[in-house]
Amino acid sequence: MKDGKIEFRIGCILTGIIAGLAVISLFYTPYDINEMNTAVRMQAPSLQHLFGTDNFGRDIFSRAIVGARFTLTVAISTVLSCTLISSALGLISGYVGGIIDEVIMRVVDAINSFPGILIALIIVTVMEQSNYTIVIALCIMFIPSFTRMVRTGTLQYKNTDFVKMARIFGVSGIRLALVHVFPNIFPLLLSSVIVGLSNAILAESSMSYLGLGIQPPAPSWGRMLSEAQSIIFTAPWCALAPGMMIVLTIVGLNCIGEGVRKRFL
Amino acid sequence: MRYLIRKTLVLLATMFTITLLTFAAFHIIPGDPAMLILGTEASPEKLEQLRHTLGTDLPLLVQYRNWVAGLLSGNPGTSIRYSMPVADLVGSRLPVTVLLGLMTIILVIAASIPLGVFAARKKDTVVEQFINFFTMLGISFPGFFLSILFMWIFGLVLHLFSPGNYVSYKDNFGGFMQFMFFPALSIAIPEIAILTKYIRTAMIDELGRGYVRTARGVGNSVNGILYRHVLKNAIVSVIPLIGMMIGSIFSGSIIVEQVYGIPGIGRLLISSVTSRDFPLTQTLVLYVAMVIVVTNYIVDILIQLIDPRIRLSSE
Repeated sequence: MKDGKIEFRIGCILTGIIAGLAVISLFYTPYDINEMNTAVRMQAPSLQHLFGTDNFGRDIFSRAIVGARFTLTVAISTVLSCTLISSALGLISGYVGGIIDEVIMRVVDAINSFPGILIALIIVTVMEQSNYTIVIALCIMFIPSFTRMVRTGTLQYKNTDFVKMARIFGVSGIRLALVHVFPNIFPLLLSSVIVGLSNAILAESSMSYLGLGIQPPAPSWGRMLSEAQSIIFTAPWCALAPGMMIVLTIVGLNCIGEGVRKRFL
Repeated sequence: MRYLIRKTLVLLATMFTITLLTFAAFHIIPGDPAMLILGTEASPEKLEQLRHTLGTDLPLLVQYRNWVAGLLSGNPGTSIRYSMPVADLVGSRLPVTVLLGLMTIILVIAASIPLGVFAARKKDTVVEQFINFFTMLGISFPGFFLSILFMWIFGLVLHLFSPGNYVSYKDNFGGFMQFMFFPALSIAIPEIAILTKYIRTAMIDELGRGYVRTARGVGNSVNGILYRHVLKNAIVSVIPLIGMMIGSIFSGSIIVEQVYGIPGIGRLLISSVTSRDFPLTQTLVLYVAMVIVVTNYIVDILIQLIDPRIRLSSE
């Protein structure tokens, strides 16, 4: 088998299952996610409740798949917006160079000297709490590494013969950057987008765990874990279900990333 | 020497940018901090009073100058929530986080070097696949989930430590270290996974060199070559990574302190964020960023001392 194909397949299957569940939760959940049924408090997993119930009698499976939807939405919108912004910044920085490059890179460096979660914390502190705050926070957290990567790629291709040729033929600067340089950076960008997705999920669930991510009543994996922490001894499935969902998603995405990296780079 | 001066200048410039960015984040982007703290229904007099205590009614430039002057003289302001000088709050929590961080670093280094060497040695075997699998798992476990699992398995089921019963390092240092072992391990595991992977790659690169074949040819044992020659060279390319790890270890410690209820800097930071205690958050953020920048500076200088070749290639 070709290098990286096994990883790619395992990754696709794992991520596919989670994403599929998230899509299904749009149309159907076995129980209402906020329905409290005191008769079935803290029940162990069974056929009625696949992942059991929590201390309010809410069905964990339903909550976990709806949580998947919210977490994945945050992760995808973060990575997409971040990729767009960083591609623009990186291309400008690398292609134009000079003082613009210097300014962009210094700001990126300064942001980079804060540990990721700290940036997210700052943004969450200074902005009004809403479900979108976390997207902006995570986006700013990922911009430095993406911008740097696009810039390095741009610098690398800027002086290749085919770009020089195109320039001789009178191709405009913008077209050169977008049509001739950018597509070559794309494979590199693709694998970091996938790694970015898994980092975004990790960061989002950490922030939700701290109560600073997606706001209630929307369920998210991180907050489910923090709610389950106090009852871990009597009802471990409350913590295991969302926790394992996170782990499986991350493993899946990392596998895809590894597969793409081995294939293209 | 020239390198040292240049690095120091860059360090000072970065520090300046960081104070500027932190200040900007807390003063320009949001609306009115007084409004955010008291809510939109607060009375104008109360808002005015809080603005005055916060100093936000002064011009921005004066605020910035006051803040930086305060930082330099060791008086970075007063926390709103605790009504205590920020310096005192930080001082009492700093040792806890530093000890936790040190323990984590020791665990990371002690585990990943042997694992990395072992993985490199078993290249192209089933064992390597196993190690790859475990490093993949290690990266994929979020710190807080790992901590909760540890609390459940080692704390509640196996009774190796008692979760929630934090022992102060002042009262009982042994008990403190025992309590801190699992938090440190929770932060360390993802880092161990990453470092193992890097050490393995560096070792494999190094194993392809001529001197390894020569050393083997003269009759050195495989283990001897691995630890005495190859590791020394491989570790040099890994040291910058250890510098960068300081940041992610701190990030990990913010969350893990929250899970285990350890009264350190991370916990203080989170409680300042949730209670919208701006002066405290601002100073803590700056403080942490400074520590990280300075550590990276020291690591850069150390790398120079260990391997001057890097300077030549980077200049």
